Amino acid sequence: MNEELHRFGAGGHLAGIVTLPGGRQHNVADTPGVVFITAGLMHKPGPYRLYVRLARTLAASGFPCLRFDLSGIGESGTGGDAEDAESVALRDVGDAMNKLSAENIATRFVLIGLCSGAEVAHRVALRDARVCGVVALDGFILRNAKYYLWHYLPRALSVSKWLDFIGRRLSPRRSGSEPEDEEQTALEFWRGPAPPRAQLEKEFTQLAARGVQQFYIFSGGSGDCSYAGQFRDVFRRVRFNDTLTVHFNRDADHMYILDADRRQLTGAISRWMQQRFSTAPSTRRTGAADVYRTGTTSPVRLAGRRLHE
Amino acid sequence: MQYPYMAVSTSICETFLNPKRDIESAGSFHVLPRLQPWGYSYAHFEIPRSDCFIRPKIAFYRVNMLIESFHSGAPGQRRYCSLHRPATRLTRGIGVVLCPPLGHEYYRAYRAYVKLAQALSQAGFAVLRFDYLGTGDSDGEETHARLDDWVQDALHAAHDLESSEDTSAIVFAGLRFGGTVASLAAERHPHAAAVLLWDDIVDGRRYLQELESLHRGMLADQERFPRRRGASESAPGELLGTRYARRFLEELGNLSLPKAIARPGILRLRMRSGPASSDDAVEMQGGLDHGWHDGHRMEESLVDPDAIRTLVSRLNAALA
Repeated sequence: MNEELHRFGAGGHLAGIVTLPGGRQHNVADTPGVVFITAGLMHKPGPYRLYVRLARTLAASGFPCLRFDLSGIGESGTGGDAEDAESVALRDVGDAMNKLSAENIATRFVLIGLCSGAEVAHRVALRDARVCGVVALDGFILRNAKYYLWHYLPRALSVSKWLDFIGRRLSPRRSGSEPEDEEQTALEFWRGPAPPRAQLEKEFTQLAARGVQQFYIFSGGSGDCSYAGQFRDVFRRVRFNDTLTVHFNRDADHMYILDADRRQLTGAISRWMQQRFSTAPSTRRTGAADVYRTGTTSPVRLAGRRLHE
Repeated sequence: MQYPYMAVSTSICETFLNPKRDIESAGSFHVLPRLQPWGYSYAHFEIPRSDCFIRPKIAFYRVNMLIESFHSGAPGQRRYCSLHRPATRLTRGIGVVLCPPLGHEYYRAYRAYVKLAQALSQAGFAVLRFDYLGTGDSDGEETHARLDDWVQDALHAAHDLESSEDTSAIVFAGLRFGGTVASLAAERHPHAAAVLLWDDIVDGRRYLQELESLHRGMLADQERFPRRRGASESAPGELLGTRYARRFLEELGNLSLPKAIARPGILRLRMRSGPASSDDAVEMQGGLDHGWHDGHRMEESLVDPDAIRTLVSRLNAALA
């Protein structure tokens, strides 16, 4: 496993880390590169280093990975144009994929995102044919009648829940600091409502028809999913054609704060990637020489653009 | 991308009113109008001092990024570092090493650290941010087993900064545990001129008790988890999303820093957030209450531009 620092995007404003399979070749044409998409104001390690662990685990399995800071986050600057948060995020992910292509690392991509990152992954997959897989952590889902049953019934029957509820009402939470203006704009975008059911059904159908592999993982702590079959029930009219895998981590919170939950999640994603995508060098000849890439061992110093005098 | 010319901001007033700033030998100096809220992009223009009000000479510079990130250290032991060079020709010749806090507070403070570094670089300081080994984007899966190793990371970062920039002195700065590391590192660095401390930890035992209490509260938080999680579901040494070595936690629990920096000649600037207290070891008071002990605010990004302005202006004045 080797990690390299890279700058990309218009003007080199995006900062990212590429994790390459160490000491082994991967078939650039067949092995998808993995791009991690952060959520909200989070920077590239992900929540509690989840993306660092995932990238290093997947790279050890043969998948090159890129985790990066979205525009205006962490070490990434702004692109300079006045755009809404959604457009900026979509452009940034496109730039990330372009970077991996330009470096001859991958030509197909699996996007992994948490929460708003999952929504971005979905939207990029719709418009970019290079995306062959989406791993959505607490991505789009709708609430049905059974959701409310599974959500409220255990709470109504639990003494500890009632005690907790009463305790919260008696000790009002102090409000935190208010985000500054542009953060508020971005946060308002990410807090917006999910698209209507009909639109999501159409989009999932579109992705399935293209053969995009979709792995939807929900946590019990997200508050939007309360039982394992909810996603399939809600979107039962969509023909996923064996492209869909759904997991429900009932006990985990939205941010996977516990190490054990992160390990379980990492294992599930790693197994899914190995089942769905090959990392073995291809023996097929495509008319052009198959391109293989070996990870480098020397760290690359980022060359930030400097004042030109 | 070509950035358009913009009118000069308050930077000119600061330049004229602060005669101790270095002036370019050619008789011209730079002022820096901010084009982006975070100061990532600038247009610079030169004004010859001799005919400033008659024939100002204007030149455009395209600046895309002033943050340079790099790995430092042996393979497998590399720290992730980000360098903010002085965003002005009026440099101070002083470097600032920003030492990050621990665990969940590292994530809370990351954005504030970037903003603080930007503000310091605008004031002419060279600034280096870094991630300790086993944290953030640095190598390693395990955090340090000894308190001294965390301090060593800060000292290595100072060495990296001195190697990259022309500095005659170093300031160690940090929030919470980062302030603790800053204090310890400053005691050992030969060129340390000051420590800039923001809600730093001086009583390790009390801090550890607070973290353990927050962790227990987190496990029982049924707004976070559908059911209460048991203590056995945490890994050994795990506190609020990060695992620590048992030895480090023991050393942290025994840590008690003196109120004054022992080594003479090191200036200490300490800020306490929130309402005023009777703590006489505080040089600055202000900013917002960041709810360090509030389990509901554990993942809240720290936003406090007033505190950042106060820290930078006090440091600027103290080292003038």
